[in-house]
Amino acid sequence: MTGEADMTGEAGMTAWHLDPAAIRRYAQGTAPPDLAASAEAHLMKCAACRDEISSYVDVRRVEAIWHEVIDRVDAPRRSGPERLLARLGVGEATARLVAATPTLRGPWLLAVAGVLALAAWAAQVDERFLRMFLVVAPLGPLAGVAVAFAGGLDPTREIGLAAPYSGLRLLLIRTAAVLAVTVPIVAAAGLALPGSNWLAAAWLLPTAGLTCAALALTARMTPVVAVGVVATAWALVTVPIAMAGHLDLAFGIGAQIFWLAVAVGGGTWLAVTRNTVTIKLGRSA
Amino acid sequence: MLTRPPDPREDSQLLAAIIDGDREAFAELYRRHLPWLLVRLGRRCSSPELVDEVVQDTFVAVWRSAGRWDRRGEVAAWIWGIGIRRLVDGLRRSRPPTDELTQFDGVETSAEEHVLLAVQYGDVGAALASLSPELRAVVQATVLDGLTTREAAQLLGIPPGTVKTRMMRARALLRERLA
Repeated sequence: MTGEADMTGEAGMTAWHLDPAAIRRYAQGTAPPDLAASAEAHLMKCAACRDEISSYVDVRRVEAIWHEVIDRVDAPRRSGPERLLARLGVGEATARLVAATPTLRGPWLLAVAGVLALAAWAAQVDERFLRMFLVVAPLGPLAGVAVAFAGGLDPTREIGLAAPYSGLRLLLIRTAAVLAVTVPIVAAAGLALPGSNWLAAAWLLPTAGLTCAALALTARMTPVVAVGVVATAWALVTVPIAMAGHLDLAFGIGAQIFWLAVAVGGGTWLAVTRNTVTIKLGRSA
Repeated sequence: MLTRPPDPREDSQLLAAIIDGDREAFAELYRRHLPWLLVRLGRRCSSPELVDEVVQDTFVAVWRSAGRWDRRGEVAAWIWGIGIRRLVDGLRRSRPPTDELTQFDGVETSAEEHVLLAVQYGDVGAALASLSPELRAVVQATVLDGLTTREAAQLLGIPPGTVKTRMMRARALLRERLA
């Protein structure tokens, strides 16, 4: 099997080759330890003997693995955030869903950061704009949730509608991802506020409350509409109050407790009804 | 894929072509190196499914990181280095450590040591064969497979300290029997 012709092909190598019986025993796993050891050492250096092994390997197995390899080679490489999530122990499917969230794309995040940076800067210039920041801050993460489910922007929407995947689960995963990214942006902007006191964090509980309210409303309407309803209600109530200068009324201890109650109430309601509620992630196109 | 005429290029040229995205070169490299890798990893892991997964990982890694080959030594040895480490990772992920020792049904000994010792002391095969399977497994993983103590420990499912003490015992025994 290992013909003499092989010797010429390996200049500087020994012309010694494994004999056919040794190759057969090694390939079939019946070689004793010392034979296997010397076979493996030789195989690293000898292409001819490596080739001999292939006749003992199941062709179908070789083909099957090849197709798997090619499938993976052809598959698009996972994006950076996706790989990061996978490394953190998030499942592959969940990581893909989170990474596909439209909100988590660069341009959108830049827009949120830009608006809030502007609000923070304006607040530096004029104290009155501080109220505007507090009114606007919860809307950033909230709009992020809406964008995450805006039909035209979500690349996985059609698949998501057809997949046997819990709508509520998808809703919560994406909302959590959006909040995890947008809340730090808002927080950073908040720290840039003048005289950074409790006001810098006063938007947190309203944001939580509004988000939970919107999530609870998704049982009745699509996420985009739910967020719209909640955001409108927020604006209608807080803009007049803030403009009138009653910041304590809109963001004081009483209001904070109210928003905490809304958050807890909405979350509890979702938890209780999670098995019976049907989440509408959008009208099918 | 297996019926194409032989490619005259050397392994190193194939790798260079793979860097440029040459699918033909990749197929040829796969054809040349999959069978022995399958056999060699199969001797170290009792689960064919895991071996399949590991060689699959290995060749995907070869395709993606062909540029990382340092151009020295055998391409086969480079592929083996990727494969055995993927196997170690795969074993760590997939199974409780208790299963892993049984994978060393065919325990082999170090070829390098075999050759070196045989030159100095004569017949070494019998001495190696007289080692207990646990000791031979450690000798193989560290010397023949080229794993670090930690990697060998993961492959065998034993603590790194145990690898060290077993290696010491194996050396002492070999020295004694070959003296």
